[in-house]
Amino acid sequence: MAADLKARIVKVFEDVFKEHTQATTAPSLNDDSVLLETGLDSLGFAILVIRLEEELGYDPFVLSSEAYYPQTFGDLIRFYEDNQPQ
Amino acid sequence: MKLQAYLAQLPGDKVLADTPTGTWTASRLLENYHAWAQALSGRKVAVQLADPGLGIGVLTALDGAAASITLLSPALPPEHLPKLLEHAQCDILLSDTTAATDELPLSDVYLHPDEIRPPDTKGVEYSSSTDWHLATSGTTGVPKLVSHSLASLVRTTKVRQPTGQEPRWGLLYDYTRFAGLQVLLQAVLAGSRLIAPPVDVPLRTKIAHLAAAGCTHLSATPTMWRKIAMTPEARELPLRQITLGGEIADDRILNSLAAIYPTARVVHIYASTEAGVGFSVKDRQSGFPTSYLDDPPEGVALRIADGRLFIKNTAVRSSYVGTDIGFGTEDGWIETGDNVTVKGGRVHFLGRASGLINVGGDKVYPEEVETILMSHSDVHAARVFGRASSIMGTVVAAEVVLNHPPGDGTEMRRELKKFLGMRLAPAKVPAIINFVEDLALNATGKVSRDAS
Repeated sequence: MAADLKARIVKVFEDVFKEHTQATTAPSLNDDSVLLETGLDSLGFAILVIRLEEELGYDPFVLSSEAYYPQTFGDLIRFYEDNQPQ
Repeated sequence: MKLQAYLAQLPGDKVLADTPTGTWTASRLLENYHAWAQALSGRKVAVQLADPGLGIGVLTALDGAAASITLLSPALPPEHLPKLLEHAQCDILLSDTTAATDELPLSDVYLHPDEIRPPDTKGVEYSSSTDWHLATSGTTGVPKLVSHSLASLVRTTKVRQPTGQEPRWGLLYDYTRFAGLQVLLQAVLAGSRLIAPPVDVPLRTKIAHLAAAGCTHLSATPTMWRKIAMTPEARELPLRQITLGGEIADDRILNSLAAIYPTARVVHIYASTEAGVGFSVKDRQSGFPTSYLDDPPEGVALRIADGRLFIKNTAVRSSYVGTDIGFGTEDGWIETGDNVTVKGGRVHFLGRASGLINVGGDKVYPEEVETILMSHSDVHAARVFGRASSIMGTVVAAEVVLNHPPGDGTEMRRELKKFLGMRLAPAKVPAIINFVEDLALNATGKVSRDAS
């Protein structure tokens, strides 16, 4: 399940990255990649979160009561895992 | 009191600003004061200088000497310059950014303030009051200019600092705009240090720069603060005061900042170029207490009518400089365009009334984006609106009816974003594009602009 969620997030990231930056390929990410250094700006990140909401059906930045902003790609995956609606 | 008087009372070696061009002490800032003030006395001066240190020096010389100061952003599109100079009736431009000078309606253009030479005559009378003209943030066409005085700009500025360690103000804004000028003037009036990181570097580098320089006070939009919270360097900022402005501050970002900086004051302010600073909220909650409606804390009257917030104008004139376009009623009330609701003793912001979209502080008119979208040969109809975002507050979204089936949409989305990106500023390009078969129309048969 967790691997599936990660794969879906990676896929949406790649789509958003190519669409938003007009690049032909998206950078490969690992858990330590700093989100702000992936080449996606804050608007790109906002688009990623909206598209993930359309794809996954939830936005952890709205659902989570915790005032938290992820820094790395690993943080982001965990944030989506931890806040999946039951 | 004019700006020069604030600097003159400081020790000469007192550092007021660290900027990309070096360290600016009070004596360095006042070095050319008399030459510039005399040369530019009574003139209408446009100032477009990138470096905040040089900016403080020039503004200090002009305040109380020039008839008017028109502050222009280094990022101003060159094609807008002639119109702004005409509106403000400027006769001199001080610019380190503008190359095309031949076609400007001016008698004098200085490419650097060092070129200014004082007149031979001594004892020139300085005019007593200087109009400050600030550009609005409208992103359609030529920005409009609002007239302020130094007094109206620094009305809420604290001149004396509380005892203890001296504050160091970080500058993340363009200092020529209202929000950035507030930060710059705050530092000058209080005699504290301004830290301006380089402009063309990634945010992480700027935050690391501010952290290394011991920045204690920082002002930014909620969108910028969310981005700062995502940088590893954010934890290294020794912040004591956090200010949010320019957009609606939601509880999530207020709580997040309070968690990262448990000892800092977190303040969100409501201000606009037209209205000046309206009020600030210090209780770390979104919205503002209804008690502000009867007893406004900064002395600027507020009222709610028809679900909209109105604010008393504090600018010098309630029409844009060089135009007869007013932005307030005759008795000085400005319709802010912000929809509000009262709930549980608190006034909450609901968004913009006009369909105007606020993207991280930049204002976007949906009609402009729709017009460009419709000029694409594959587009049959389009609706542009604001969509709530947990990261940016609001982003621009579009529903598009194509002349042909969109397929899976990926290629067409890329194509439209590329097409729009070549014709519009980045903030205006729809972040979200969805393909639909038909557009929702409202009761008057117009495309509905309700945010969804």
